[in-house]
Amino acid sequence: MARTPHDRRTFITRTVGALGGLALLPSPSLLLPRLLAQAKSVRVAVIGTGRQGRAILTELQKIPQVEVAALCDRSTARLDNARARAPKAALVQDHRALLEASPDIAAIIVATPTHLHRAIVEDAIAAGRHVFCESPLAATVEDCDAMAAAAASAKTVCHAGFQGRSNPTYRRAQPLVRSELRDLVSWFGQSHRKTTWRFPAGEGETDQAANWRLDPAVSTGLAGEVGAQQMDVAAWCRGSYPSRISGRGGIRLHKDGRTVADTIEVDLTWDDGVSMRYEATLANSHGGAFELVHGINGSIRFAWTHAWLFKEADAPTQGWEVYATRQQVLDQEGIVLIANATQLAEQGQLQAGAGLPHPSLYYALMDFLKSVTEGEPVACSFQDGARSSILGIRANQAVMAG
Amino acid sequence: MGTRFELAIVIDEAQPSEAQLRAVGELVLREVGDWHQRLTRFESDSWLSHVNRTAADEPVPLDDEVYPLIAEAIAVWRDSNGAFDIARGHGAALVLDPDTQALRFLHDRVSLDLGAIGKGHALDCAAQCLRQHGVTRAFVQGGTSSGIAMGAPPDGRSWRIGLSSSSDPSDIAEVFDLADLSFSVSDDGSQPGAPGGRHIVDHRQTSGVRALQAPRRVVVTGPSARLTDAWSTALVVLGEVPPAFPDGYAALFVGKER
Repeated sequence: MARTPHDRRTFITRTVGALGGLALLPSPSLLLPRLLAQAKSVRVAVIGTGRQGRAILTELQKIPQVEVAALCDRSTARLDNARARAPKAALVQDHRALLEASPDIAAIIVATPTHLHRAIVEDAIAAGRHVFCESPLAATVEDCDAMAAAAASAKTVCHAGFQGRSNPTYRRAQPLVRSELRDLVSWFGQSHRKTTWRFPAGEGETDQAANWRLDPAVSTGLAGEVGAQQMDVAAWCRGSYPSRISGRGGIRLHKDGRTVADTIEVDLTWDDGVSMRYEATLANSHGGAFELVHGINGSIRFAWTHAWLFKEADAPTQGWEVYATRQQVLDQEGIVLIANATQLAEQGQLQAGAGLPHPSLYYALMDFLKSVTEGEPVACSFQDGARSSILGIRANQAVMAG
Repeated sequence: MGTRFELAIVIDEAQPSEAQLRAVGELVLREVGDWHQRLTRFESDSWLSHVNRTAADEPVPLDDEVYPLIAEAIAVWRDSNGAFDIARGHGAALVLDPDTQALRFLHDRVSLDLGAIGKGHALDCAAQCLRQHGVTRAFVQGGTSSGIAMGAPPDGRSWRIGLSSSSDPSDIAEVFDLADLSFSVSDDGSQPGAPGGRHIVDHRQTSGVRALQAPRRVVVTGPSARLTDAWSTALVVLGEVPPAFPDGYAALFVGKER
């Protein structure tokens, strides 16, 4: 999911507390995870070398035990651009040729357009490779179910790229949703960006292929392509999925003949009556992307590299809060939910008010690689990834149906 | 960087539709945003912050996009006798291995700041992206202090750049006509909160970081915005053009000497 740096600048206005006192999470290894030094080198291929594929390559560069052995994309222009971030990688245009020719590549990272995931993932699993697949997993319910079934029978690691589940800040906040906020009042999520969502076609590529997000035949729209990540956070924190979805949307800005809405509103309701309002637009950038959950004892604001807890005045104070770092956020004082702030600051690795040392994507990839090399449990299984992808697909269908 | 970038593309008949050019423009500005995210030292999750946390402990491999940037920054440090220094006074503690393309710091007091070259680098990448998509005439600028003039505007043979007076921003002190050239302006103007009240510091001072004694204003033009950006900073510090100033580049000190 594309993050908006604007979020952090907007909301961090003043650091109130000093970094001194109790840490809020037990281990700095969550913030600065590494593969075991003795871990064998992992040969990796990245399939799909557009913007997300290149972002993945930037994060993989930070992991010494990873060797990016191959890049695969139908577009030679995208391959050429990506090669600068993985100079030793072989360049391949067909994923089946890659799987056949390179049996020593243990892990496949899939970052192609969503509707192309299924065939690549099924082939990679059949070839006995570990697979990391970007979210959403697929563009149809049928494809999601098929991928989850393939993963269930796989002997290799299959990891879905829903990054919230790997993000240390979100992991810190997730149990607090249940313990600190108590009964939930409501959930809100938004993604605001001002962009056409159009991409120029590369050499030999059709405009339709380059702009698959705007093709209603294959696109899951804003609800699926952007919203599924944020809806997954809510489902993961709650431990259950909503049972009712309604939605609406339209073209507010980009009246260029497109039919995929540039602005949407989705309402998700759980069986216990808690509801989530989700808004996304390509017509306005104010506020960027965040999620805000309200409970009877307080609220938590998730902003990908940051999260804050705001207590209600009548909520009981926990011991660790006394020493926690606080920041002024939109005229309210919030408790910063970041792991081991004190210890990291002493090591010079974290400035007061700073966020995570790495983007969420890094933590998701690291979780995948830890599962591959150290047998760690998968942070987001294909089964969970399929459920959240289907949530995005159903939300998009609700928007389309109006 | 943390500044505003602007882009103007000239629509030629031979080029794609306006909608497609707008998509190209957005791609270019996303490219600039991606470089900001990689090169800023103010975001803890940037690539540069990762380097600053890591390179004193172990070599950090640089890819083919970043290696030329760091190599050129070190070359300008050397050629300017340390007047330009991405290591903020510790340029001699940077070790860049050309065989492995790995960077390491000789001690843990080193911290990179690419603020005086990153904007130019992002502009060079933006221009490359424009060319890849068939754009030959455009103007792209960042923070109004660095830019690239590609080709010519619709109504002339070159892009006309006005340099405002330091005493009166509404007054144009100098005018430059540029075509297929990059430019950067460095001005050791006042900046509240910066050391000595200036935003460019001379890291060669041995008794801590001190501001320059004499404020200066320099314009550098040449093929690469990365180098015009770096050299304009170096020349503000030096106050003169050194013998190692690169061929193909021009420098002008603008009437602020005193």
